[in-house]
Amino acid sequence: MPPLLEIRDLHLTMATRDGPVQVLNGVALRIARGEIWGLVGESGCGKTLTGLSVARLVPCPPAQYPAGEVRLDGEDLMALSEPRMRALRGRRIGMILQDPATSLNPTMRIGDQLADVALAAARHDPALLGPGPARTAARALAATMLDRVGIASARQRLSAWPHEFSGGMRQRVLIAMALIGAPDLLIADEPTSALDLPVQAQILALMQGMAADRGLGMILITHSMGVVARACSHVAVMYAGSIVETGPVVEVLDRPAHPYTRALMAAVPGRHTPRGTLSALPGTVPDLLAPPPAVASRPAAPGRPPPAAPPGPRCAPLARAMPSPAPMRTGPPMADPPLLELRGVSRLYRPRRSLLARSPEVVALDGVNLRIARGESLGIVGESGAGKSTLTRVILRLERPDAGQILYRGADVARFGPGALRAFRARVQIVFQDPQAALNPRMTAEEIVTEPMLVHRDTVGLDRRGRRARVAELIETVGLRPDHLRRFPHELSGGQRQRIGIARALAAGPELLLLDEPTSALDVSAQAQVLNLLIELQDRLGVGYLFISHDLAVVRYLCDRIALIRQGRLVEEGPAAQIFDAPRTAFARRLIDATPDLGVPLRSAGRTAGTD
Amino acid sequence: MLRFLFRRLLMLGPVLVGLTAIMFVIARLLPGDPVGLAAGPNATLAERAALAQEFGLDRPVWDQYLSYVAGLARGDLGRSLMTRRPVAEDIAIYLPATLELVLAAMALAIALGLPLGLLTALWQNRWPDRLGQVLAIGAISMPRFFLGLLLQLVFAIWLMWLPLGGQLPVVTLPPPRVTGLVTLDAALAGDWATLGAACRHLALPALALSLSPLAAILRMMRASAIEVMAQDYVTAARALGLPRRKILIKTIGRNAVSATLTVIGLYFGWLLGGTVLVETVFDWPGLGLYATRAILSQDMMPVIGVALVTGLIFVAVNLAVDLAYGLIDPRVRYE
Repeated sequence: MPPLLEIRDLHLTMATRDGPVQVLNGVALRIARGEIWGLVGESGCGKTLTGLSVARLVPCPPAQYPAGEVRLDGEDLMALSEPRMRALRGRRIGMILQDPATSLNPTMRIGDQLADVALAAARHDPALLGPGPARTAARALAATMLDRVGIASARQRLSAWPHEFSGGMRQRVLIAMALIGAPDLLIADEPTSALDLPVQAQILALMQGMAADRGLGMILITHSMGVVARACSHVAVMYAGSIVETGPVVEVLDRPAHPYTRALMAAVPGRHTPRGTLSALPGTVPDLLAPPPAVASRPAAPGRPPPAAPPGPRCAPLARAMPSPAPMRTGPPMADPPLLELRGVSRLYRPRRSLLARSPEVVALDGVNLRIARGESLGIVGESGAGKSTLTRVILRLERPDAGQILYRGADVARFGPGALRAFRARVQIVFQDPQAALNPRMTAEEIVTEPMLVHRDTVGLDRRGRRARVAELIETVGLRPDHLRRFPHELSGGQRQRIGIARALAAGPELLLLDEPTSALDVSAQAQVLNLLIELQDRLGVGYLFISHDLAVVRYLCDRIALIRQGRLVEEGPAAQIFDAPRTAFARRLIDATPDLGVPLRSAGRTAGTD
Repeated sequence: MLRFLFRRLLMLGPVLVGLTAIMFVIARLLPGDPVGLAAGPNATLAERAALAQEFGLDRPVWDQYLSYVAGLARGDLGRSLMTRRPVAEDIAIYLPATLELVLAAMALAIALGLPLGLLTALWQNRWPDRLGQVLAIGAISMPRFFLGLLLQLVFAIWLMWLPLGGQLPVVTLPPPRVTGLVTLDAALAGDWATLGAACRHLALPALALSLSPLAAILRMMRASAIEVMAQDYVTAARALGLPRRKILIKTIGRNAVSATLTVIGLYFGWLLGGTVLVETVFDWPGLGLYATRAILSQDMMPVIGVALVTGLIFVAVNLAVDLAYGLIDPRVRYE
C-alpha cells in the first residue's frame, strides 16, 4: 500500500527578473497516516513552498516544476488537471495558513465561511453532508466543527464576524475550516507562530488530538524546534531547498546527524541558555541565484541517519559557529539613581460612548511601578493585549498616562518643555517589532540611519561629514557591510532589516532602548544573531534595554531582570534566574510551562554541545 | 447606527446655514444689474423700482438674508426674477430630469465598472487588462460635451439608432407625473411604448455622462481587487477548495468593493453639478440648463436654490455610501 503522501525528488524553479531561481532542489518525503511531520528550517529555505506545492497552490508561471512527483495515496498530483486538483483541495488536503489574523475573509460571517467550504467539499463527496437541504446541513456541520475545536456555544458563534474573535479563536476556526471536508492530509504552515505561548500550546494540543482521532497525516511547517519537540512525531529539516535530515523526533533531536540541524537547535534560546552563548548560524541563507555546489545531502530513509553532507557555508561544524561566551555579568549596582522610573503609571482607554450600551473603560496599564538602571536590561513579558506596547508609548510621551509619574534621571517626563522633550527622545529610542513595517520603503538604509541625527541635530551636533562617518561606524557596529547602506529595505533580509532598525535607534546616542518584540518577526537564526548583537552592544556601549517580548526564553537569555505584566498590571518582578527557578505566581508558572524547551526529556547532544 | 445617522443629520444644519450665507454674500458682491436685466431695456425707472421692491432687492443684504433663511424654514426658496415663479417650483420641474440622467449614468457606471474592474484585475497585465486601461484613460480624459457630440454623430446621425436629443419625442405625451422621472412614471403607468421611447432618449446622454465615472470605478476596482488578491484569505479560500466563482465574488469582490464606494459617492456629486454640458448638447430639460440661464441673467435665487438642493442630495448620497461601508465591511459599522 502506498504511503498517504510521497514527495519524490521535487524541483521548483521561479522565474525572476534576474533569471530562474532554483527554489526547491529535490525534496523528498514520505508521510503515513497518523504521523505528524515537522518541517523545519530558516525562512527562505523552501518550507512554505513545499507545503503549497503539495496542494499545487504555487502560481505557474512564475513557478515551474522541472522534475518530481507528489503522490497522494499513489496518485500523482502533478499530473492532475486544475479542476480535478481543485476537487482535492479542502476535501482530501486541508490547509492552515500562517497568520490567523489575515486568513479569514473579514466581510463574511464565520458560519458562512465554514459552510462554504463544506458545500464545496460536498460537491465531490455528497456523503459529507448527509440527506436534507445542503445549506442547512452545511451549517449544522459548521457548528459541530466549531464545537469540536473547542469554541463554546458554537451555534451562536456561527453568525460572528472574524474581527470579533481573538487570534487563538480565529486559529481554531481555521483548523475547523481545514478539517470540515474530512481531509486525509493536513498541511499547517506556522499555525502557532502568531499566537501567545499559552495559546500556542493549546492549539498544538488540539491539532495533535484531531490528527490522532481521524488518523490523518500532517505536515507542520515551523521554524521553531520547540514546536517540533512538543507536537511532532517526525521531523524533516530543510535547508536551501532540500531536506537534509529526516527521522522520528526523538532520534533527530537527541542525536542530530547533520551539522545544520545541530546549528539550528543551538540557535534556540532555552530556559537555561547562559547569556551570550546563543549560537547564530553564520552568514545568510545562500543566494539562490548562485547556489553553492551540492550543499544538501540526499535525504535518507526515515529513521536512518543521512550521509554526512559536504560542508556548505552554513553547515560547517558547529564549533566554528560558536561565539566566545561573554564574561559573566553581574547586575549593575542598583545604588545608582535609576535611569528611568515608572511610579504608579496607569493608562485607560475610553471607548466611544454609545447610546445603547455603556461599555466600560479598558485598562491598558494599571499602577505600574518599574525601575531601569543605567546599562541594565529589563525584560517585560506578557500576552498580547497585556499593555506592553502602551507601556512604550507612555514612556516616550506619545501618550500621557492617566495617573502616575515617569521619571527620567529623576525628572518628571510629563513636565518637559519642547526642548527637554526633544533631548529626552534622543536619549530614549525605540526598535519596533516588524522591521519591514517600521522602515520607510522609499528610503535607503543610509537615509534611514541618518534621519535621527538630523532630527536631533542639536543633541547629536554632527555636520554632514560627521554624520557619514557615524553611519559607517554604526553599520559596522550592527554587523552589516558598507554596501548595505545603499540598499532599500526590501533588498535586505529580515534580520538585516532589524539591524538597520537597531542602527537607527542607536544613531542619536541613546541611553535607553525600548525594544518592542524586536525578534518575533524573525526566524530562529536571525533571532539569535539579533539577540547576540544586542548583548554585545550593551557590553560595549552600556545602553539600557527595556525588552518587550511574549517569549520568556528570549527574555531570560537577554535580561538581568524580568517583569511579568498581565492585563496592565505588574504581576511579578525579579532577577531572571529567580523568576525561572522560583516563580511566585501561577501566571509565571503558566508562562514558563508554555515556553517550548528542547530540554528535559530530549536533553540532546546538540544542546549540550551548544552550551559547553 | 441610529445615533450615527442623527449626528450626521445634525451636522447638516450648520452646513446649510453656512452655504446660504456664502452664496448670498457672493451674489451681492458680484457687480451687475439683475433688476435691469429682468425688467428689460425699455422699462421705466418706476417699473424697475416696482420690480426691485416686489423681489425685495431694495432692502439691505442682511435683511434679505434673514427673510431668505426664514423662508427656507418654510420650504420657500425665494422667487426667480427670470421666470417670475417660486424657485422651489422651478426646481421641482427641472430636478427630476437631471436626477434621472445622473442616476442612469451612475447605474451604468457601477453595473459595468465593478465587474469589469474585477475581471481586468483577474487578467492583470494580459491584453484585455491593457486594453481596459487604455480605454479608461481615454474615457477619463475625453471632454464630456465632445463625447456627447461624437455619440450623437455615430448613433443618431450615421446609424440612426437613437434620437438626437430631448426627453421624449415631440409627439409623445409625457406619462402622468408621479415621481417626475419620465422612465419611472411611464413604467408606473404601464405605458410601455413611452417607457421604450424614454429609455432610447436617455441612452446617449447617460452614456456620455457615465464614461468618466465608469473608468474611475473600473480602475479603482481593479487596483483594490489586485490588492485583495494578494491577501492571505484569498490563498486560504483557494487552499480550501472553494469554487472559483465564489472566490471571485464573495472573497475578492466583496472586499475590493468598499474602496470603490468612496469614488462612487464623490462622482455622484460631481455629476450632479456637472450635467450642464451634456444637458446642453442633448437638449435635456434639466437643472444644469436652469442654473446656467439663471447665472447668465444674474438671477441669484435660483442659483442659491440649485446649490442648496444639489448640496443636500450630495450629502444624502455620501451618507448612504457611509452606511453601505458598514453593510459591506462589518469592521466599520457605526455605533
